[in-house]
Amino acid sequence: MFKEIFEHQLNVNRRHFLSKLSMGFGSAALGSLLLPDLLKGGKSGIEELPVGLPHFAPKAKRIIYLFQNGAPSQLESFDYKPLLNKMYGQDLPESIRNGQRLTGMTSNQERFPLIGSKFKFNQYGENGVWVSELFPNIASIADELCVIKSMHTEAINHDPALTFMQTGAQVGNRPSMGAWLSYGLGSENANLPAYTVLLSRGRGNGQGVYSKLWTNGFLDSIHQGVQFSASEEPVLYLNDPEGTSRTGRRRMLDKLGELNGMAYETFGDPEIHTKIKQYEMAYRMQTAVPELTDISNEPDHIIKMYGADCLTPGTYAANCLLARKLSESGVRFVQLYHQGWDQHGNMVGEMPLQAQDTDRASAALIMDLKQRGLLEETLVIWGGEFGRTNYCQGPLNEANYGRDHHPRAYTIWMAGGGVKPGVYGETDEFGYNIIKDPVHVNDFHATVLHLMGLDHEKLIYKHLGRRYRLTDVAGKVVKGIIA
Amino acid sequence: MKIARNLVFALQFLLAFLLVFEKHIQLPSIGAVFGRMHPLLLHLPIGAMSLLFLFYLVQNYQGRNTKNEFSLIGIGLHFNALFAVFTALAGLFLSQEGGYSEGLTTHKWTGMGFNWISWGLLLGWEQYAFRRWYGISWGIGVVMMSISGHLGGALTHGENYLLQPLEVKEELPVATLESTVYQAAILPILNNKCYSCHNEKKSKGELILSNWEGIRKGGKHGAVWIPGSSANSLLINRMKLPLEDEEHMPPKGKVQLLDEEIDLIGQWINEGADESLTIGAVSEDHLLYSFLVPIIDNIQGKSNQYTFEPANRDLLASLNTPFRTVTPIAENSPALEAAIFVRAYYQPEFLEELTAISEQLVSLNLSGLPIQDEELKVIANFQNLEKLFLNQTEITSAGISHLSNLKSLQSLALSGTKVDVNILKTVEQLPNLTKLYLWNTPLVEEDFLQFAELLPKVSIDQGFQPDPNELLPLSAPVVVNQEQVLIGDQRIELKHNFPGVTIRYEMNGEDPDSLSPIYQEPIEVADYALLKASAFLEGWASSSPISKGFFRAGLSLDSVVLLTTPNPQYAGRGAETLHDNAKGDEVNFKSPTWIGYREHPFEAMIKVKEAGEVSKVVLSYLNDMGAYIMPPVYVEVYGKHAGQEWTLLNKKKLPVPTGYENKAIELVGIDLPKQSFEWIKVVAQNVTKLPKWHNGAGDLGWVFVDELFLYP
Repeated sequence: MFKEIFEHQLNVNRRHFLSKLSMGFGSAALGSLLLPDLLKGGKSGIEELPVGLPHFAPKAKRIIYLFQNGAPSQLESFDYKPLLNKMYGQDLPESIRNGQRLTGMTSNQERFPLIGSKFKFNQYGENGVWVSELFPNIASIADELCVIKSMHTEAINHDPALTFMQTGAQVGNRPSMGAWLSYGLGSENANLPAYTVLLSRGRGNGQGVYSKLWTNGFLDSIHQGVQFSASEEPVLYLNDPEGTSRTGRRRMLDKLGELNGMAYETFGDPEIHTKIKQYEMAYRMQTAVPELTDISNEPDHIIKMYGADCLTPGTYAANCLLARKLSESGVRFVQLYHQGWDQHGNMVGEMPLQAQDTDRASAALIMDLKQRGLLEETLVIWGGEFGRTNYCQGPLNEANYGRDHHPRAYTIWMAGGGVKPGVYGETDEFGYNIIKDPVHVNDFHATVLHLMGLDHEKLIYKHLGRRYRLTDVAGKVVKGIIA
Repeated sequence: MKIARNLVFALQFLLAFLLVFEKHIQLPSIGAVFGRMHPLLLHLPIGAMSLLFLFYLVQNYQGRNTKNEFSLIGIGLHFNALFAVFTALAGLFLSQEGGYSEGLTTHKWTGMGFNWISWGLLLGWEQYAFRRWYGISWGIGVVMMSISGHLGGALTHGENYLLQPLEVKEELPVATLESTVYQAAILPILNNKCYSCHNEKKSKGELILSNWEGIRKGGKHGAVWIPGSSANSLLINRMKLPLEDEEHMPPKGKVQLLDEEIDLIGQWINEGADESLTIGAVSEDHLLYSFLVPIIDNIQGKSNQYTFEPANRDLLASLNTPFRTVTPIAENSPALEAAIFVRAYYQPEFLEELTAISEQLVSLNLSGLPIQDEELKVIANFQNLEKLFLNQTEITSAGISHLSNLKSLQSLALSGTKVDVNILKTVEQLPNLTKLYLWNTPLVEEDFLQFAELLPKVSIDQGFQPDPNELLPLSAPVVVNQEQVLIGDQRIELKHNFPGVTIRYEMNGEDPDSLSPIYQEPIEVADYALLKASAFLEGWASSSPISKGFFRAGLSLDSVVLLTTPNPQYAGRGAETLHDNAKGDEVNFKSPTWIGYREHPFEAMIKVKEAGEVSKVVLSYLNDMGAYIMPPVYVEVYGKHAGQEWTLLNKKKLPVPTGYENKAIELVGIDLPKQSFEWIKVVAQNVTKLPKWHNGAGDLGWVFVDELFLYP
């Protein structure tokens, strides 16, 4: 308590000090004309969410990010490497490994025996995209996909890699991509948050997800990702208590807003503003959320399209359907996380289960956006946080195998929103190193922002005396994937 | 002071000598370093000269005639003359590096003049300080200094550097498809990044990059580029050198080229550096194409090339309400996009009010709203509308007929509406239409054929068509109750969200089939059950079964003692874990709801409360083979009375797994002879050697248990 009082006194003193300085404000105002950034950080009055504008005409207005958490193996999905089958059991040549560091899980391993995919591959569509037999539905929409085979990252363990992929830094506390977009572009629909998060869990070996992945970091808390529940009611406690009318609630919120405004006057804590905005958002969400769960005006075959799982809340398929509805309703960034892709062992058992749970719904989402004319303004991203090794983790055996983490090369794909369908980048025959058009995580972020009409070097927030960007001090827009 | 004066004299002599023999100077490298200090040194005499002149004028005005060498001005004049001559010398050295335009000569001689006047002022100070001509000379010196300083600035930063911000920027000619790639893409980069040092006036390294002739001529080091080979082209090589390298261009400190700019120029050189190549001639498969996309988009008006006036800001602000968003498509664009949200709160005014921006609106999304045919009359006025979304609205073909004047319309989305083949009449009149979305409408296959024939320019999306022969699996039923340990009259409650499905189940761990009992009401459990339930529906494959163990709370266990210690990492809450009626966490075996053993088998001893008869023991364990957690090899149950030896009552061997199985919480039940014991002991043997097919073949396996039940 003492601390709070002390803080308060400090605030009062600051005010006093500032009011004495008001004489100096004239010249400060003049100075601010020359330094427009100087006063931007300050906030005054209670304003509506500022609607940001793209720096230039965007290719995409919304993003749905289908994050495959745990790092799905590129070698069993999209990066076909028959050489690994031919060289079954042989050691990974040191010239290829080239000093790559290992995780604690394989660093004691004496041999690194190469192992190829147990699953067959085929080429699909006009661009001849290689897709494994585990993903027949994604294969059927190959002509929509922009497959990037040359992603690479700096981290080798899940948490830093995931955090890097989501926030542009390996340590926590930086704003995640969705928060940056909320900050840069605002919400399209005032009745829903600009950034929502949906979680699901597959049947494979999983890795956790934490709310730090959808944090607002140092941005205003209003930009934080709003996690929807995996239950029948995606937003809990949204209904008014029995006997409460909507006008009554409005009056209550107005009064509460006044009181909070007084508290702000006294304490000057910007989080009070955020709190007011969040009450308002919840009030407005009461109008928009009921539509999200209602599929009565969809045809019956929508269930066939996404698969029957889409009727079970909390499944990947249900989240894909909900993601489409959220995106269609103007949510700027819908983030899905699907867990269970960490196949250190039992690739043969788990990979098909993971694929079964995600394949149909991922493809359905693309088709569903397309048939509504929304795909061209919605960017869909599918992928994990790094790749998996081309050698077997643990003892080699015929029937089953596992793969460790591999940061040097992995595959993701995008669709819609101004990306050029096709295959970008290439790995060597071992699927270990990138030999053409590498795309670093920072480049990926720069490109995604570019597609959304934002210059990654201009989307800046000043915090603790330094300017921050999603791409920090790096990142290059990958022109080759832009349509 | 005298030393200073002598030094100035010596340096003036040196300077005069060098000026005479300027053409023959061979500059040592240390001289070049000194020369490059010119831009630094020059500030000293400029400051000194100006400030001293001010002092001099003030002193004059006050009528004080102090003029000895140790007066403030006297000392200052020594300083000034000394640095003036240093600066002049350094400047002379710097000019030897070459590459300066004709402005240099004037700069040099005004600078020299300033230097000599500085010297003269020093020499004349004590004797002539307050003569009229002395003051006038000083004034001339200041003027020469200003001229020289300005010219020097122009040499370093480029002509017009000073006044450039005031100039109206000369617009480059607007690019068209007929413009050359050189004019539209290459030259602007060179102009921005190279021009200041390589222009007609100032051509460092004798290189001019501001026009085609200069580029073709090349510079001191040869040709600028070798058509067809960017790797051998000097321009690209210099740009790609590390920034620290002496030869890197532009020099460190100047604005650098972006990587994509270098790539663009490089690619253009690779393509032959053809001056006459036009943008229109670059086809989509051309490697240059992706670099030119922004320019091509601009030409084709895909970016914000709108000619109409932006809407009034206040109007725009008033149009944004909780249910309607109206925003410019980008910063500085007059074009607007609008969307209306939330079906339940829709009012026709929301749409009507958009008439105020009928000129600016290019995209409108009304999907999901209860829009009626008549309301589309409003949209007929939006002459610049390019995209219109009417998915899942109430409109029919009659409404679409109002849209025939939308000459700019490119994309029309009508999925989920009641439109029929009659929209053809309207759609045919839309000259710019390229995309039409008609999923989930009453239109049938032959209608689509007709559309394709009459609208050859339009891509028509029929959307997803279900395949009646495709048999997809249903999702598994859901268990409603969270608790697996049932207390009192709790029962197992099942649910399925798919309308019309039948749930069938088995209670003995068997997979249900089409003959298994149908779930109609919550199921009662006598002691324990391994429930498996699947969903069945015509036209769908039955679901994979959901599998879950249920336990009626058994005899209450008075005290449980762990006879072997669990692995310290997975010690759970000790013996308590086994009889807290809290089932293990299905997902996280690290949770304290589990206790895990690896080094030795699980062994626990239970005191039966009222020493009653126990007929069944059920042990619940985790099967998570990927994490080396295996079902026990066997489970043994022993019994005894106080003071006696243990008697083996029953032993159950579990089937040896033959491959990885799905992660699950499983159970094993063991029937006991009807006998009463005070103490019961349960042993669960962990796998001591993981099977060959397992990733950790040969290693120790784990056994994880969460709950133990005894039934009378």
